[in-house]
Amino acid sequence: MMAGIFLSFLISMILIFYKKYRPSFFFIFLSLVLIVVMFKIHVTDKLNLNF
Amino acid sequence: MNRLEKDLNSVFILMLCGMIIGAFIFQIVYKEAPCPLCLLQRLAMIGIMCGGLLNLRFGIHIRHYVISLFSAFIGACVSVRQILLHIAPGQTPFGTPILGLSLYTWALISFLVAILAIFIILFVDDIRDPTLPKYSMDYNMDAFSYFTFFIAVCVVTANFVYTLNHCGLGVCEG
Repeated sequence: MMAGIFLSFLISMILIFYKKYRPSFFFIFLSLVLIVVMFKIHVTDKLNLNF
Repeated sequence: MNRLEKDLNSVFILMLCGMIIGAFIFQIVYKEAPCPLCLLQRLAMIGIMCGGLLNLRFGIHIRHYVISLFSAFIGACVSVRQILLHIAPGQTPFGTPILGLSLYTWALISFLVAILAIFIILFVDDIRDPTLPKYSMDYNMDAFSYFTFFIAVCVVTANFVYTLNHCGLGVCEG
């Protein structure tokens, strides 16, 4: 999941480089939403995560 | 976008890259595997970088700053969460401190500085001009901007490979 967010940011950077404006925004927003979801999972400890 | 604005954006991105590279070196030298919250803070820093990269490629626009601002806000929330976890009496700080402060405390400081900087930029600059285009495909990058893109992509790729190796495809359990 974490690796997937890194991959999503990587894809968005490559899309920015090749001047794909809207697709890059899609991947950036996808990454930000996933970060918030992961943070929410950590806060609620539903998966019993340890830091 | 003039040369100074381009260079300042590049320097801002490279500073964030430097922080992530520093944390990366720390985890290799001191063999400290990053925790899930540490990874989320790095991801938030990369989100801030994305706003700068959009500025470099498409010109300065308020929505690019909004991405950086939102990422910095998420990162600050994550840092505060980690500080609160370790601030209780009897708890030891996580990781090796630098200049007396833990990495997550430095991360919080950097996120707050980023938020403050973006506030100042939005307040001082005239990017709210409605005549400005939403984005432009006409911007040509110079060598420094290409170098910035290269470093940013390398940093994210290195983190992706390490996280994939360390955590796999599932949720990272630290």
